[in-house]
Amino acid sequence: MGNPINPKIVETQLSGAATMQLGFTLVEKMHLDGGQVVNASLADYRIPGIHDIPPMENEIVEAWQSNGPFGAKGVGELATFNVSPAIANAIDDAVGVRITELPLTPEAIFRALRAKAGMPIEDRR
Amino acid sequence: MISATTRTIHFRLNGRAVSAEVASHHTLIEMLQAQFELTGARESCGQGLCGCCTVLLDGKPVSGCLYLAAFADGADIVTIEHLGEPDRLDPVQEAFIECGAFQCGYCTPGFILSAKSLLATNPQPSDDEIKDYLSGNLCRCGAYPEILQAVKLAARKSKRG
Repeated sequence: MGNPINPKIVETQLSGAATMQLGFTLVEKMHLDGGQVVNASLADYRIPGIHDIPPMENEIVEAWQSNGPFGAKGVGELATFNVSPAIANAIDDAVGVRITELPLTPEAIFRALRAKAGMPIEDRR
Repeated sequence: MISATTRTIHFRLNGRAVSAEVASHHTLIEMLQAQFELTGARESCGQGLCGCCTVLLDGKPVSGCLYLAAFADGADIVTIEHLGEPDRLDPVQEAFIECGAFQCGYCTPGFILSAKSLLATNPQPSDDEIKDYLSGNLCRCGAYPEILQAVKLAARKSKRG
C-alpha cells in the first residue's frame, strides 16, 4: 500500500474505512419519497456504534509507490472493498441466498429466502 | 435582548461563577456557544443520539443539545475547554493522542468527556463497561478500536497519577 509515512494513521484509516463500510453493508439505507430523504436523522438512519465493531487487526504491507509523495499513496477507503462481499458470501454460505444489493438487512435476506422458495413477497404500493 | 421570556441563571462554568440571560427555549449548547464562545461541544444530530454535544453537569455527562439552559441554574458545568493545559494535558486527552483515537476529531470532545466521567466512577473499567458507557457517542470515522484502547490507557495513566 505504498510507504506508510504515519503508520498509526494508516491503521486508523483501515479500520475506520472497514467500519464505515460495515454500516453501508448492514444497516444504512436512505429512504426516498419523491426525491426527499425521509429518514434524515440518526434515529431513523442508524450508523455503527462502538458495540457494532468486531475485533479487528490491521496489517500494513509496505511498498514503494514511485510516483507518490515519499513513496506513499492514498489509503483512504482502501479497506471498504472487502467488507460487503465477505458478509454477502457468509450469508450465501449460511442460508444459500446470494444478495447483490446493499444493505444486507434481515428483511432483504427474508425476501431472498421467500423468493428462492417460490413464495416471493409482493411489494405493496 | 432581555424580555419577559428570559431569565437570569447563575452557575459555575469551568471553575468560575458566571451568569447568563437565557430564553426558556435555549439549550445548553446554544448558550455555551453564543454567550461564552465555548465551541468544543458541538451540536450534530440535535436529538441526543450522537454525543457530540456532551458536557459535564455536576460531574455527569449530558447532551447539551437537549438540556435546556434554564435548568442549569445553580449547576456546575465543565466543558472540554476546562480539561488540561496546552503543555499539561489531561490523562484522557494524552491517551487519545497517543492512541490516535480520532480522525476528523468532531466527536472527540464528547468521547473524552464521556470517558472522563466513566473513569471518575469506574477507574478500571472492563472492555464491555467502556463500550456500554460510550455507546451514546458516535464516531463516523470509525475510530472505535483506538478509542477503546485510549480509554484503557487513560485508566492506567490515571492510576499512576
